[in-house]
Amino acid sequence: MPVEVLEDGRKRVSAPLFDEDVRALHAGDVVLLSGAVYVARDAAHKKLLEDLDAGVPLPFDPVGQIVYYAGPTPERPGNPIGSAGPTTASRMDRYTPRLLELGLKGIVGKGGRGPVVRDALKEHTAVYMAALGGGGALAALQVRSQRVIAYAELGPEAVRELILQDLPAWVVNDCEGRDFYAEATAPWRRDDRLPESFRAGAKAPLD
Amino acid sequence: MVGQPNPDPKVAAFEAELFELCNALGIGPQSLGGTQTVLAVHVETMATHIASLPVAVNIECHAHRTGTKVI
Repeated sequence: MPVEVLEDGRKRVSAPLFDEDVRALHAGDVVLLSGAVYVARDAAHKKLLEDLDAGVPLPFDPVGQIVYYAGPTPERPGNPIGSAGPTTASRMDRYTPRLLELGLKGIVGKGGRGPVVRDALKEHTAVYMAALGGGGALAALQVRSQRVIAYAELGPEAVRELILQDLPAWVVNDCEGRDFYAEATAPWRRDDRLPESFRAGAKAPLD
Repeated sequence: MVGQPNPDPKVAAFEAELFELCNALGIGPQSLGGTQTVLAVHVETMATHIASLPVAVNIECHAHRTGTKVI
């Protein structure tokens, strides 16, 4: 089952995801990612889109799949992977809508997404999740295996297939347009102490 | 020095002001909300040529890649 609700309310998520699975994930949900995800970050995304423009088939079929923004470090002998934490997702904003159009259903990174991506997640019924920033060594413990599947010349930025077992993350942007970062921080924001440009409703740098 | 305010009271006041403002944002750990967004702010100053006013900001990985500042 692609989305399995555990007794404590957490949701175990495995690709392939269909629209109904994505709709079962809501901003703020704690998820455990299991099974196959595709690792790609800046350089790989650039190449993926160049391939698309050139009519070259992608190294993996994005339909229903999950992409994890990371660039793992080399593994020590006996370990499947080195550090494997998430990287800042907003740098991939320019590439994301294209992959969502092709059927990608889940993304894992860290930090907020811009309005274009938030709208595209809604339009294409997809979900953006955040893993623990700064927790690369912990994340590595949830990786069972890795396999480079494309662009090996990119080294740590090559596209990899990772098999995960319960990598913790949380849903930030769901397919209904909710933004958990905005919701979680609003009650704590002290607009009375902030200059106008930093208050709620001010144009965010990404917007 | 870590854990100590700048010895210059003017700079120390600036550190305190920035600290208050950062935590008023309510971002909190991992941007999940809270009173603690920064643990400390340290400002170091050095004299420069009058025509150049370099400013360097060092923080942890994510947030200020997307920051903007009007000077």
